[in-house]
Amino acid sequence: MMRRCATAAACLFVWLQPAPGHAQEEAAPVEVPAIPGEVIAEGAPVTVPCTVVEGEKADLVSVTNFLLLRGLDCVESFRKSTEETFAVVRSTLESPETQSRLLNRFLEGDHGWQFLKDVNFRVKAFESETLGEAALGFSYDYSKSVQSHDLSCSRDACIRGLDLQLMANGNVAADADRNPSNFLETQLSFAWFQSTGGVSAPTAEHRKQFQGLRREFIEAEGDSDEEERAVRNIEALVRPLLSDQIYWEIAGDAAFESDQQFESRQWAYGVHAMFEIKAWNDASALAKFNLLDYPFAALRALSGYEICAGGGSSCFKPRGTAWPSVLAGLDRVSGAENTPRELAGVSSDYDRLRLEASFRTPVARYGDDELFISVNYRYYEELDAPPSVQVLDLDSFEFFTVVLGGEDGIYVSYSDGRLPFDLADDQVFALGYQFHR
Amino acid sequence: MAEWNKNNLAHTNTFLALRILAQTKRKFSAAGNLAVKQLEFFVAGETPQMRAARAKSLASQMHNLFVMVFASRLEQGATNAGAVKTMADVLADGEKTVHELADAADEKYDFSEQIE
Repeated sequence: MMRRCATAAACLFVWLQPAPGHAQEEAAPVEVPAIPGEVIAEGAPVTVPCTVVEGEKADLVSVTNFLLLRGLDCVESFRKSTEETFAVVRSTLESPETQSRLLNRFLEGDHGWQFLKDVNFRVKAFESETLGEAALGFSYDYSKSVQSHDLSCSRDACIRGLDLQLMANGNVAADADRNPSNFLETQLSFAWFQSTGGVSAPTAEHRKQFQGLRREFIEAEGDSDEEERAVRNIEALVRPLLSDQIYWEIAGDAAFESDQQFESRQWAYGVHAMFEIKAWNDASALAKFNLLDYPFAALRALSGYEICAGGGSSCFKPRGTAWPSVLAGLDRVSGAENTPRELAGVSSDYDRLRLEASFRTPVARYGDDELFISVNYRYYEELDAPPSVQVLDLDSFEFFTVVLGGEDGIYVSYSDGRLPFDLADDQVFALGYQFHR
Repeated sequence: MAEWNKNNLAHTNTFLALRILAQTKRKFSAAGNLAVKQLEFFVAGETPQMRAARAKSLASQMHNLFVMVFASRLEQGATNAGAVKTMADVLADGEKTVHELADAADEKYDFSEQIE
């Protein structure tokens, strides 16, 4: 058996893999030159000279593999041969993305810390236009149903239930002053939720056709045109059966809000209502008249995103699934300590209105990839705020985030505004690259 | 966790539901590793309350497809709300994968083919 590598970096990686049945300690080391396309006999005892990357630009993956797989025995000569590369490796290992991956790998292990995986710890760098230099930190995000209960609903396509949910999220920076969203929320929410509509009653014939097409899909060779054709046939069969779905919930909430040092903190008790409508069928009036999606539908038409009836690719097709979801809440805020409001000399409990809206829609296609825009807006307002709070502009807070990016690859995000406990607006701009397992 | 496989109806049905609902355009082989935050409904920066509610909404629509169109049944002892919540917990976690979503669904639904 032979192993072939196409590039110098790939060769380096191949050489770093110990040959099956030949532990490297037992084999006499033989230096192998870095020749792209080199064919290496399987099982031949090979080793990598420490200077393999000398004089050439090694990419980050190969250099990182080199260090991780071969240990530190080569680091000294590696440093001498190319200090610049070593700096790149260090910055790679220190990057939030690498640390998040290492942390995730650790959390996947079989030990008592696995529950932390559900908490979604992510190492992050916080960079703010107004606060200057970046700060390292982490974010966490946890959401879990503690208990749920089914309630009867006589209509078709109707789900109704009760749900007790625990949620927590926030950002923590090594230097709290550099945290642009220094606001942690931990809350328990008891919701009555209901979803109605979404699918109009299919006939037995529809179900039979679906099962036939699904069998074609399963039997088709993986990644083949035949497989994709079967999926498209299923989409064509089922999408006309979709209808408008209305989802709403009403909930009682108890939340603890603080900054990351827990110096500023307060409790909030209240209720919220959330409403969402999805017109899953393109023929729905709610889809045709979703004016908010018109600009994005125009961009999709220009980029040839849509496949239109008749095979054209420049039709104007607003999305009925891109209606914003809306949440409104009313809270009683109490027990405030060291909040900006209290520091302004007002320590009384108060009522707070909060609003939130979210939506996401595709805007273009480039090659096989899609580009989406997502927007989230939050608003908090103290009701009947005393003049001293109004004068200091502490009676309302708003914050919005817009992200432009695809499933993978480059993304751009921009956040503006402030959250409760923030004294001033902050603008955070991020340009990054995301990739997934 | 069972390997991502077209012959597993939990995997196939979850993938098809997500394609029908335009949550992804990926092919089956690439969909298993797709993170929930890559699905079309997922909005960055929203509060946990909003995310949890939107996750329940999408899970409800997946439930509709599973039960009404795909002719799947709930496992014995499972309820509509419980099944929706099980899927919603995965959908509210951006780092979870479609594969994990399918395995969560498998706990609540009997996906074996029903002859009508």
